[in-house]
Amino acid sequence: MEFLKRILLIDFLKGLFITFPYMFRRTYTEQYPTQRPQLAERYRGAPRLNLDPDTGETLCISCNLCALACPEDLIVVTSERDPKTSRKILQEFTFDLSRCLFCGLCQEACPVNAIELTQYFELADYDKKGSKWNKFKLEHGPTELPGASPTLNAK
Amino acid sequence: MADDLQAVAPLELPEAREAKPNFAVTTVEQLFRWARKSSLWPMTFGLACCAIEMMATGASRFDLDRFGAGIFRPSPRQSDVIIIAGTVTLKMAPIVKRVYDQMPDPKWVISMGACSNCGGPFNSYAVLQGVDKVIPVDIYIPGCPPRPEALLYGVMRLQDKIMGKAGKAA
Repeated sequence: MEFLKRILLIDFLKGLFITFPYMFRRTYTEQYPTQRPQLAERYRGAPRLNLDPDTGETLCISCNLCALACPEDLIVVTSERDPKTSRKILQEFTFDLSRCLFCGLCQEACPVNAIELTQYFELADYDKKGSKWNKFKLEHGPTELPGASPTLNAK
Repeated sequence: MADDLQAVAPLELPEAREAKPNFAVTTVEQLFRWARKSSLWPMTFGLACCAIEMMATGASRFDLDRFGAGIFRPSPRQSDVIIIAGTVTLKMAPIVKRVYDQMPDPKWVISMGACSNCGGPFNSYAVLQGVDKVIPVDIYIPGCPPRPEALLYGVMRLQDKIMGKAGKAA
């Protein structure tokens, strides 16, 4: 009996009968490049400097609060004071993505909702310098890489 | 896969168009590139929390095997790509270097996450500030940790680089 059981591979077939129904179950694999993943609503990805939808100018008032809030000190805000209105005018905004934790503290600190973390996550780069985003890249998104979003600020 | 093979046939590389005697050679080279790109075996090597995300990428929901990169090899002698997933401490750096040296050519390095890119939050005496101080890195993936799709995107960009399309892309 034991011999017959071995010859007919009974135990092996028993195991296959357990795995066989998986053929007809729902598949779990996400087809990522063709199908966009379902991100959580509060997912934090690439940063973006918001523009004023009416004038197209930056919303940033260069108050430097995001740079102070950043635990990594990776935000550098450069501004110049307008001699007439004595307002600060944003010159350059540098965001070092390679060190970023995507914690969202800069977004929380911003009083005018200028810096915002988007749902965009395709950030890989061939060069470390590429992850140092300047003002233009923060406003318009990474346009050099294939598959990248044309612009982060387009609505 | 079939689309890739057809893409090999017309030979889009500029050097192939200019140098006539090298026609057959470049075709073989392009075929090799296609083969290397389609069987990127990563080294089973995880250093910290990013390794959990790397394992998730290899598992059935994201399935790194769809890109031919899902066979994690337990030996550096059998692997093509090493994914530096996590904090590289100064104690671990010589081991990372040795594992990289033991891998056969051609080999590639993916730096995954803020820690291996540049030290991340650990700006301290015990942590290497960027794995590129020890081994050459082909592609950097920011994130803390990057989500599995971000790693998949990095793998796809590395495949572009292997196929010689990196210059066009970046």
